[in-house]
Amino acid sequence: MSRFFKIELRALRALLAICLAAGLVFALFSNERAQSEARSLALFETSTLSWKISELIFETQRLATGLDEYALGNIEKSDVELRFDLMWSRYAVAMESEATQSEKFQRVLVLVGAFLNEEEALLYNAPDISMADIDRISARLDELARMIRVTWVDVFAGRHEQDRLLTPSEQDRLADQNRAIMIALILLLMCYVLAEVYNASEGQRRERRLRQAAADANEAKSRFLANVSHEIRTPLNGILGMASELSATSLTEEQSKCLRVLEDSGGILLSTINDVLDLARVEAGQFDILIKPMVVRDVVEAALELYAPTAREKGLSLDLIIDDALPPFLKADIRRLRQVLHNLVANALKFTETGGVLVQVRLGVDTWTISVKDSGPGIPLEAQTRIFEPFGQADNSATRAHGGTGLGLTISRQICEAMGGTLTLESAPGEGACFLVSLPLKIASIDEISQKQAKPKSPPDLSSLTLLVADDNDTNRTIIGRFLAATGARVDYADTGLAALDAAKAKRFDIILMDIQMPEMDGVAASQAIRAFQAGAGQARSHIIAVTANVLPHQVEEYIAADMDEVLPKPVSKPALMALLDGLSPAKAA
Amino acid sequence: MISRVFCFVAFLSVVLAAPLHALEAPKNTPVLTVSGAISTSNTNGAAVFDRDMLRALDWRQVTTYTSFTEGAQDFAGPTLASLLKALGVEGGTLRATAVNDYTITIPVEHAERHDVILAMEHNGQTMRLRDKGPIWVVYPLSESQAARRPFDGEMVWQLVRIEVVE
Repeated sequence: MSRFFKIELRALRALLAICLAAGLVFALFSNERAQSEARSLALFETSTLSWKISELIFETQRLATGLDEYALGNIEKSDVELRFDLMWSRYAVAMESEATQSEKFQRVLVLVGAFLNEEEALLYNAPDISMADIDRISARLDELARMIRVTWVDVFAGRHEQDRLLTPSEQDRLADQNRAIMIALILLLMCYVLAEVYNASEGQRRERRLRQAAADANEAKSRFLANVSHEIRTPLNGILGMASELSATSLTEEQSKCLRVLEDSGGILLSTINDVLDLARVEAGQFDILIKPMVVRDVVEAALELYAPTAREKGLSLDLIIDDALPPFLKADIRRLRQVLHNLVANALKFTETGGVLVQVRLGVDTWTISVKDSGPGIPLEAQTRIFEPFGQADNSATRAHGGTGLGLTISRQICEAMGGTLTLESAPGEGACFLVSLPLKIASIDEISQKQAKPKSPPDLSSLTLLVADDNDTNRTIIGRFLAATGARVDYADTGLAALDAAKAKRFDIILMDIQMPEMDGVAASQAIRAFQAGAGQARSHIIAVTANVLPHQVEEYIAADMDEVLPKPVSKPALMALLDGLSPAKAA
Repeated sequence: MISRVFCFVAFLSVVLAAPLHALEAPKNTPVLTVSGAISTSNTNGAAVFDRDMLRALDWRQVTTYTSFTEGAQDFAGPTLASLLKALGVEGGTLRATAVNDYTITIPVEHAERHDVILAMEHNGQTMRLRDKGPIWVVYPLSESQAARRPFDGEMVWQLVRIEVVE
């Protein structure tokens, strides 16, 4: 609401500024007009003044010559009177003019007036004029004419503005008013512009601050992810690894049961943690998809296989139908696909009491689909969007029958969308639920598949090789050691990067399993140091494998840049380790 | 053909010449000379008026404001319209000339439209040359009208001649 108000205010201010600008333009125009009017008026006044003065001089001269003519007897007294009257009229007009109110003009006009008044009796009223008077008056007239001309030249040639001042104060006042208004308007406009500029820069600063804060938050999240990843998975690695080792030994019925519970719980814990971290990764934009060729039937069957016991226990059927028309080899992110399938099947089984779950894999147009249909209670419409939201459950009450973090469907949908597909739901209460995964059809070639097919059945024979296991965690070292026992390799251990470096300097290892996060010197630095040493000593390169939970692309790049050869993700699974080492066994290498 | 035109012109001049001598000659000092397209004359095709002849026309008295004077002024004189009527002038323009050869053009319709007066007395006094006499062409105006100076050019003083142009 306040934001709306602010926008309104801003619009209002802008409107006001525009009005001010318009007012300013108008004021400028009217000022211009007034000024040009004043100028033309001044010009007019100047020229009329010139005319009036020149007329006065002219009539003064005419009277003088008239007197001469009269003396010669060429004209009558009445003509002289006429000229006298004319001169007087010119004097009267000149006196009336505002322009002659200046001191200079007044001085000479007063003299003219005095002359006229004094000589009127003689020139105008008397019957005739004596020669002596004629001479006297002529001389006076010449003098007057000269004085008027001098004054005129003085005023106009000298361009004395104040003598030519003619506009009344009224115009001045208006001009001043106008100017004051214009200045006020300009100042207001400047204030407005400055205010807006300041506002804009404030806005920019704020935006930068917010952006920085967001970037910082994101960074903090990523760091948290990396830390949590490591801190949680390491002990989990221990639990699961040891559990799997234990299961390989001979156990009593009682012990087997306990172990199963241990493994299940560990598995659930791992998957829950993975879900949470996945979600965090998605939000931090660090979700990546690894598209690999796969055999569709194998992947789907294996995923379902995991839940066969659960279905049996609940008395539910779990069936799989794969469309014949579907190409056998496709490309997808196998791990993620498995994740989605596990989630959907687990949900289906969890929420169904009677009947069963049917999984169908079909071919679409440029797509292929997996549908998971259950005969459970179904999902009401209003819950159908909610369950896809993070932590959203169909039943949000505290007494809900089924547990779960509520992240499974969220992540499943993210995974499907990240692979370029969709995850949709069709359901109604009482009619069960059908989740449909639709993925883009990417057909894999035979060659790509055959590359994958080579699966090690037995542990590789590494009896001729020396191996170094560097990990700061005792449990991890133990686990890997036990995994490696079957290979027959000669294994040494180091608990820090520095120890690994010392060991490598003392003895050349064929393979080094290097943990990354170690105190004193981390795996990356140790690898670089070992490489440098080996290069310097002319030693054959060791095969350095980075063993870490941090397998984001930029991190993998870091390891490769440090001249490490491979990456083995943590928690370390025995099959993965065996598969990797299988590629390095002398038999294969040869 | 030519003889026909000649006859027509002769007839016209007889017809037109007759009224041209209807105006009496001035007895005193001539004050105003009107020439040009007029229907009557008394001296060489022009109509010369003295003070009495002008007095005999439609003599009016007005109180008015001018842009050359301060405050209300009384003027008395014949209306320009009556002068033009006496001379049979109904349209065209007048070229009014003052004693110093200042000349201005006045449209004939101004006479009726603006009640133009040929002022000869100012505030009861006969106007001498020095008083802008003998004739000042006065357009009666209100004070605010006068302030705008609408007829500064037409209000010629020391008027001596009028030439009527078609």
